[in-house]
Amino acid sequence: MKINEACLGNPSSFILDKEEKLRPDISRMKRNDELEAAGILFWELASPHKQKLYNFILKSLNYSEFADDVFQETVLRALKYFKSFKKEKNFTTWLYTIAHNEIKRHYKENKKRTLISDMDRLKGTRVNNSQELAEEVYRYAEQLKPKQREVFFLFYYSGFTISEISRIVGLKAGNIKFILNQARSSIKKLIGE
Amino acid sequence: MTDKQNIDDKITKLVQSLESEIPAPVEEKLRAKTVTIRPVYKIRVKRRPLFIGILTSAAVILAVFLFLFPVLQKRREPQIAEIRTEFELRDKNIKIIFIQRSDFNLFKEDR
Repeated sequence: MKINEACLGNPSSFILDKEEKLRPDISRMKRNDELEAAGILFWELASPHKQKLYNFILKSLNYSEFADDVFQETVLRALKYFKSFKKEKNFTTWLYTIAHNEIKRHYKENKKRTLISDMDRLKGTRVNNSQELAEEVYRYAEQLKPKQREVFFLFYYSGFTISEISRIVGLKAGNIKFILNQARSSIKKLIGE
Repeated sequence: MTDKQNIDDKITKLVQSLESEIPAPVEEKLRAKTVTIRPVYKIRVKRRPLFIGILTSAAVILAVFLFLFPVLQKRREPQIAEIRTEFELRDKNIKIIFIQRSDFNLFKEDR
């Protein structure tokens, strides 16, 4: 029988049998294996989205210093409750829903404190396009309400469909379309289209 | 391509043009924290439907109101509708009754 390495290092994974001999606790091993497998599967699924998720949180929080903490909390919470994730559901949507909840929690906890956006952090980012126009767009996003900003970046940055955004943010499709239409017409003027 | 799609593509390009790398300290912190985390099932607390709460509170308020209304209501002093004064002259077999009513104004002249 192959003994799980995680169990070998853990004295509590051994039990005394009837002859008072130490033998590995199989039930515990199975549980450890299961947990380990869940962790591995989580990282397999989450790794391709990590970068995008980090940027989404960063943008949704206006490049605030708290973005790193919110990102960490999102990933940790997702890992912790990964077993509750239903396989028939979309993992990306599930992960972003957790991110949305964490952003919401952040705003709730820091209601009294004004969120200081750090748009200077934009300068340290990779720029592939005309920076001035991009900064105009980000400045527009900065003025939006938190939920509207999330919708904006979920659509334009993360590439979710309206129905997926509706599931993540919990808004009706009509409201999302309204937010996006407003953004469209405002940015159209900003970039001189 | 429609105008809407065109502007959407432009905004998408502009928004996606700015991309940040996850800072190394954040990655390290995350890695260190994930070691201690064990996946668990999220226990969902079943919330009572909202209308049950509303109905219960409405019933409680109504019951309190019905109970307290008679208790707190001020007792009204009984109003005297009329004063009767009776005299009886037995020897002449006469009975005189004065009836004093609230609508009878003693000091008001009749018009």
